[in-house]
Amino acid sequence: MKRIVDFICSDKSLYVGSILIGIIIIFSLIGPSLSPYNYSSQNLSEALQSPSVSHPLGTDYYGRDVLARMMHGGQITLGIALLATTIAVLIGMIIGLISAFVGGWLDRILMRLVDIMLGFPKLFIILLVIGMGYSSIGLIILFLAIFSWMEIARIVRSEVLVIKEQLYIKSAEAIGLRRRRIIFIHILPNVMGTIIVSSVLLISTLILIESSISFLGLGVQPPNASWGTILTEGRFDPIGTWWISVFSGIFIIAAIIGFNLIGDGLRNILDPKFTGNS
Amino acid sequence: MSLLTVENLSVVNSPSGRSISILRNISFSLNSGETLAVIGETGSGKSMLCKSIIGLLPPGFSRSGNIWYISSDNTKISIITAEESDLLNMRGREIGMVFQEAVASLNPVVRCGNQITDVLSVKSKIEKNKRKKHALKLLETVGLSEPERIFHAYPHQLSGGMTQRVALALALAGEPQLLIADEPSSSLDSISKKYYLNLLNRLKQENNLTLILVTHDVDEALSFADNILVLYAGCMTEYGRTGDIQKSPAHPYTKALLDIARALKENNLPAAIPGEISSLTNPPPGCRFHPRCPKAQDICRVKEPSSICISNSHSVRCFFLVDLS
Repeated sequence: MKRIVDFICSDKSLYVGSILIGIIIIFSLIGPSLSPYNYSSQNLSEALQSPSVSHPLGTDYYGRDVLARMMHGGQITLGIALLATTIAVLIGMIIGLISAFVGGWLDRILMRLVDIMLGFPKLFIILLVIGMGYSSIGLIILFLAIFSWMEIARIVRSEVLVIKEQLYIKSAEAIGLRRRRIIFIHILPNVMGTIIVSSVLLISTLILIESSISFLGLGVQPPNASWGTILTEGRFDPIGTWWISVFSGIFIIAAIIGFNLIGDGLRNILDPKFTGNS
Repeated sequence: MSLLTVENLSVVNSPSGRSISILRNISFSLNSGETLAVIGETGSGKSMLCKSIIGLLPPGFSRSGNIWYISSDNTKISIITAEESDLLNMRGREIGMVFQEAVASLNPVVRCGNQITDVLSVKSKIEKNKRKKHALKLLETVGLSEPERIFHAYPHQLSGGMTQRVALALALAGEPQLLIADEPSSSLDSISKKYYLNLLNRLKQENNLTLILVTHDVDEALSFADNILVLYAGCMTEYGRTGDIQKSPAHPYTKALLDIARALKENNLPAAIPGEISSLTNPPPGCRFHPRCPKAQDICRVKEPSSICISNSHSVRCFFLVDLS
């Protein structure tokens, strides 16, 4: 535990980012059990109240407590982003490894596939499919993952191509270790740093995309709420009911800044040659 | 009994249709428990010889000829025609290899000890809970005084001499019969070098190792090896017992190398061999050494000398032997 704390404190942006994300995660996970309100229970007599002591972030059109909805929304938004990132990283790692190790025509086909996937306007495709009426949280996760593994695959491929020519891989071969062992024990741990940095940055991209889809009303559907869904609920009277959109907007921004700071911090630590903002 | 017999080994690299001859007609045999030193200048094909023996040539290189190896259960294996899976089993367990740059040959993100236990888990029958103890013992046998600290250290936390010894422990973990050391001491300072070579000698006797030592230090080869193989631009110029070669070098190149070593030992500025090593992509016709040879005649420029046996353990490729008396 102390080692983790020391590690986080060693870089300023990692430190700030971790605190920010830590607060958001605690807020979303522990908050709902402390709140007297349920995220979906309506109370029309208390509709559209501005922030007060009993409703710190006010209530929405149906009298639902915005704070309770923000906590629940945090679980959904972060859950979608984390799951989709995990799937994307797994796909990207597998494709990158295969590409680098098998090489030849398979490498060429896979890398052209990456080019094609990168060429797709991903938001548009996601909107098209989900707009046809197939919206569900599972589908959103799947789509986000399918459209975001490409960069990981490219990074893994190029890193593995460099590492597999290193002398310690040659000496592992000379000792007679099997290829699977060489990949998982000697190559992957060396690529892990780069993968972690780019996946943390991917999380914040996916939070933004998910919020945009939900803002357009095609993402997470009521009574479930993501931050994007809550954001869109305040759009009818953005000045009069400002609290609905402003607080969800702040949370989206905070989460994205937080993950970006963590990503930057990790890159500064893991890549001593990178002197971007340190 | 010969543990390793190499017959007419040639290695060819053929990028884009051209074929470049990296090694030509190398033949030697190595008895169990003996040491062979391979000497020659940079670019003479020493490392390629090691890699072809262990079967790890880079893609695009092909071997011809024969390499016979007697494994520990007394079967004769042809390394060139063996299945890749058999070779995989042999590496580490039968033939070990140490590379020139030890720091680069250890994985930077895995602790030294774990790298050794990892090899033990694949290459030996030692039970899981005894592996660490065995790894510590290995570290101790290669002369590291604080095995426990080294076990938990990452390669970058150790000095060059220490990592070279960890790499040696790693190569010995599978208890091979034959150890190929590709310039193991060239990145060390002269004191650690002496220490390392003594260690190698001691381990060789304790474990009955057969050793192929690649070096460009002639003195090291003379004091350490039983046999010497002199390579020049991929050709085997001379091969024989160390005593024979030291007493009566038959090839002008060998003689020049020995003269340089002697001059260095006597603290004189040695006379360099004029010219540069001939390129492998565009080798001179005839004997590859002729552009630099003081004794070159017309025949050297057109015809490649064949191997002449001076005695049954001493052969040379030259038309005009330096000293046959």
